[in-house]
Amino acid sequence: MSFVSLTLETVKRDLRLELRTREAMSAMLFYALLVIVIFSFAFEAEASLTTRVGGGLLWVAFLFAGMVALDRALGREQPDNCLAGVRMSPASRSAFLAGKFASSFLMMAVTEAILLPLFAVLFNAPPTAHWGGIVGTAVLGTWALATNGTYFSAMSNYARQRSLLLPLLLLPVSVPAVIAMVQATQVYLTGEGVAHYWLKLLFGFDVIYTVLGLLLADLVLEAE
Amino acid sequence: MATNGQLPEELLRIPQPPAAKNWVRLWASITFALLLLGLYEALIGAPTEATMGIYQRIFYFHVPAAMIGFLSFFINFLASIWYLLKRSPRADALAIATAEVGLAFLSINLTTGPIWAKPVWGIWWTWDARLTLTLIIWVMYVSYIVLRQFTPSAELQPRLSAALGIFIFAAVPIDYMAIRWWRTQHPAPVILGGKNSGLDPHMYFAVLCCEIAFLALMATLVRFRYEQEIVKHWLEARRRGVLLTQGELGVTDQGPGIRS
Amino acid sequence: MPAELPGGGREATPALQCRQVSRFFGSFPALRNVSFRLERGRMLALLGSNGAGKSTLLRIIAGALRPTYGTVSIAGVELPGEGAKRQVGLLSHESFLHPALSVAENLAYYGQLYGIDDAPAAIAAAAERAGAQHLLKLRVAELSQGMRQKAALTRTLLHRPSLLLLDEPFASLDRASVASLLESLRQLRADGIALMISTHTEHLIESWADQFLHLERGMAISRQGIEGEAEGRRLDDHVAAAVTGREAAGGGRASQPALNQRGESANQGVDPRGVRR
Repeated sequence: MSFVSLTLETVKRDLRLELRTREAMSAMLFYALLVIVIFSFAFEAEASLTTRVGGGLLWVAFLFAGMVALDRALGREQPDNCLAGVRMSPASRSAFLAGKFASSFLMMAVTEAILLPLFAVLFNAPPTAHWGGIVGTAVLGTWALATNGTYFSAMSNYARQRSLLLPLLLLPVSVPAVIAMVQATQVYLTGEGVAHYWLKLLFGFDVIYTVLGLLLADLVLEAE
Repeated sequence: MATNGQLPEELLRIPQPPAAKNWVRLWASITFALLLLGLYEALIGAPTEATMGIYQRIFYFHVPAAMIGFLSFFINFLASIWYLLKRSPRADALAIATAEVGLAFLSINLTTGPIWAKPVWGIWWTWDARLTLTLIIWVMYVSYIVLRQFTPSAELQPRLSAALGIFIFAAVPIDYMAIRWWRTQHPAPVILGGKNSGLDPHMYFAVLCCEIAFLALMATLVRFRYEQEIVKHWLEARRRGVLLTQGELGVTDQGPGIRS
Repeated sequence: MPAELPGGGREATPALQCRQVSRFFGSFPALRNVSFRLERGRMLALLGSNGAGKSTLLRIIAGALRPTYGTVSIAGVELPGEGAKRQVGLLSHESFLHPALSVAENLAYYGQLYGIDDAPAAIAAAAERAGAQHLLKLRVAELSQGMRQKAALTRTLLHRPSLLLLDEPFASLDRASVASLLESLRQLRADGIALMISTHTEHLIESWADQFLHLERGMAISRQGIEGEAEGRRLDDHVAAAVTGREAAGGGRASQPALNQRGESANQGVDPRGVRR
């Protein structure tokens, strides 16, 4: 059970570090807030806009915020080269990566929980909106971004311009997940259409990439 | 390279570059002839299509380019798995070659598409399922090349890009489903009417000619790029061999003055 | 080869064996065909000027870097095997401790990474050996250079390695810290832990090193197995002789290749073409 305990310890350590340094969460929140505000200026935030493209607006804000969290996922180990300490240890790379994935997921989820009501107010979400469905979509969609993003965060960690490389790797591969989360959110916002197959697709994406990421964890955490 | 007992085994096992052989030239000539035949069939041989007229002829290059590009990416996926299993420099060389050549073919497809679409559909681009999927696959393999350029260490490049190759390929079927569902909700503005219905036998022949010609071209380009990579490895190994054996000969004072 | 050794079974697997280790950074050869072995419980002084490849060699042995060519075995297990990583600890100028966490929190996480069952006991034991008991509650960011070194040493000892690597451990330490670090190291050696120390300040360890490995431009230009007290002959003479190929004054002793009874003969046997005097 050392796999599970190492995963949990990694999550605990990340959350503790985040509480002490607050380097990711505050930046994420503020960043996403700015995106929402800019959108409302750029597109005349009114109810008709929200019914047309609300899902897209929401997810672009989440995506920007998520990128900060994912960049920090391994960037957090930069001071005094803590990642080298992990690489020198005999610990399971999959367990370490699973922990990093879970902590990124949690931080993104907390940010989204704060942003979602704000979005509903600022963009006049229609009263028919199905919030349970939107939260469910957000969970599956955030899982998709967190699992892939953590893996690519580790992959881009070897590069000199880590923060620049991460979105270049993450966004193309995540396109199907982005389509699914935007479409499902749109369905739940307007109450028109069917969302369940988008959720199934998202879930499939999540499972495939979680398994792939854990299987191939050694490749991105090996010694240079 | 003087055979020296002090050379690491890995250096001695590096794949030797192939000697220049006549069959390469022969192969290239056949490819060239096939391309000429394909061009002739596409522009002159095949009959002009009734509704789209002369514009339809670009299809003879447009469609095979996509198919051969996808084939190339499929080989990239296999080479990535091969690399992870064997860590062979040959696998990595094949992976780079197929990614770059596949990208070139897909670029042909993505450029000829709008050229055809403007006169026939009246628009350069539409977010039709097939177009979108092709564009996304193209973007994903660009990110594959970008990763190689951003990763400074030559030792890391093969490992990371093999992982990314697998991640990318796993996304293709999911992309396919997502885009199909997305686009069936909002049907494409212009629907291509029954392209495959009643294809003239001569048109079919022209398509086949171009397919084979592009396949041959892909094989030739991949082969060249692959060999270029093998030669690169081999030259690097030779250079390293010299640096290592110099050390063993005890040339400590006049060693390669890279750093003192 | 081990069969030839007089020491018998225990000596058969050395604490550390490097076979033709080379490392390239791009096209720069940081290490070239370095081969040597270090017996259990012995100490090796790693010497060389800046950029000679000392840190690279230590990081390779610690498993933080991969050798481009060649192999490293620790206690008979080849890197990057899990068993090898458990046997080695590296103290470098980076502490590998997160500055925002306390020393104890950092160590607890390392206990998890190394799968240590009774982490609190292991932390207490390691801290005692490193003389860092009073530091556990402090944040790493608050520590002075000397305290940080002690905390880092605790981390290195946490999983009870049989081989300890120290990269310039005396750099930027004041005299008192140097003395206490030396005391810790002597104690560790007495406990049977093999040590490999890279340093510029040779005089601190010269008198108690068993072996010397001198690197220049990534090459081992001399391997010396010197038993205990290297009486009568200063290290600089060895080095000078190795570079010039001439016998330094007061030599004679070094011209006998079999310098000691415990395996350095095999050490030289690994690489018969190495520059040797």
